[in-house]
Amino acid sequence: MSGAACQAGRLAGRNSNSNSKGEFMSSGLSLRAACGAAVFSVLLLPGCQVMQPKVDAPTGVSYGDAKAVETVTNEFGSTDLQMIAERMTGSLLESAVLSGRPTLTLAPVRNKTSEYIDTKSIMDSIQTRLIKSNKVRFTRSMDEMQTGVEELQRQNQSGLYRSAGKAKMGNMVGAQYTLEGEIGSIVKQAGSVKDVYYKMTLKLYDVSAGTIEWQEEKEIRKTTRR
Amino acid sequence: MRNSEMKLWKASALAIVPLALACCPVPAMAQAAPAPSYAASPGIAAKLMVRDSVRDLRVQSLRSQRRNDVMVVQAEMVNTSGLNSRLYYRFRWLDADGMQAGDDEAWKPLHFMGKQNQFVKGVAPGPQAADFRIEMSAESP
Repeated sequence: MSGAACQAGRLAGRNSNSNSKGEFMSSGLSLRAACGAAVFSVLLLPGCQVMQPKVDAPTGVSYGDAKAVETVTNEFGSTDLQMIAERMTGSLLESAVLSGRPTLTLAPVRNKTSEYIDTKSIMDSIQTRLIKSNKVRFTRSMDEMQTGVEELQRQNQSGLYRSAGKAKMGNMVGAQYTLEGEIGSIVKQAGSVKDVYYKMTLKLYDVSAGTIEWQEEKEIRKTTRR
Repeated sequence: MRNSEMKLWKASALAIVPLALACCPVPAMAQAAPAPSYAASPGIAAKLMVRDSVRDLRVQSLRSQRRNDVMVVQAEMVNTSGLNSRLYYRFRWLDADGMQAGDDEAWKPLHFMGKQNQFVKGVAPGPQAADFRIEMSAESP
């Protein structure tokens, strides 16, 4: 891009030089062309500086593939999260329980491992994939309810909004199913070998009947040898 | 003499052309290319994207069907070597126009013991996926 700008700038500069020698000054058209070329070159010449679209420092920071297999340590990592989300979503999508585009909501996932795992992040990945498939609808989860209630109250009780177009109270859709689950682990260490086994279980409950309509689990084994 | 020489040249040329054709590599349309070592058939190879090498691993069979209006693919992979091996793979989904459907999947590691067969399953991200590729690599991506 900047190379093309330089080329254009040089051409424009050459034209403006030839105009200054009076070779084409007899015609009004060429005068206008000369002015245009001069303005063009002034605008484009700063683009000749070699610019890189990054700000760098000698710290060794680099971007990588977010989908690459991560084996830095055997603690729960990005690849584990992604593999769990893919397995759960794939299993749900091929299940007949999702026919008819039902309404789902998320319940908290219990973390029964010995380490901190952001289970909300796992469920968010699953929810994103399911919504993008267009096979389900999600309602606000319990965590997200307060924000929705506050917005409804603002629109209906503050007296600031005209009635046309404002969100009405009492129109929320109740979820037919809830996604609930837990993640557990077994950690064993002997000498230089450390073995970690994770198991995530996810269940889809029918809210009114209380029955489990779908269930899936994903197991992951990670072994480190020092 | 000249006429007879010309005839002789023409006859020789006509005789050489079929020989030359037999020696030249035949275009793909005339004869299907043999399957690479990592695929059991050219049809399977067409669905695979092998980044570098998958060593002694081979895709033995591919099956696909639609379940609940979503494409489901099962690949049977075999380690032809007696040594343990590791594969990194992911599915890529394409819509009917050949555009990528959904986001990139995560690379997944798969461990093979010597001579072991494994089934790998992929589920499309939604009903829009109509075709697939399996991207494979023996090295860590």
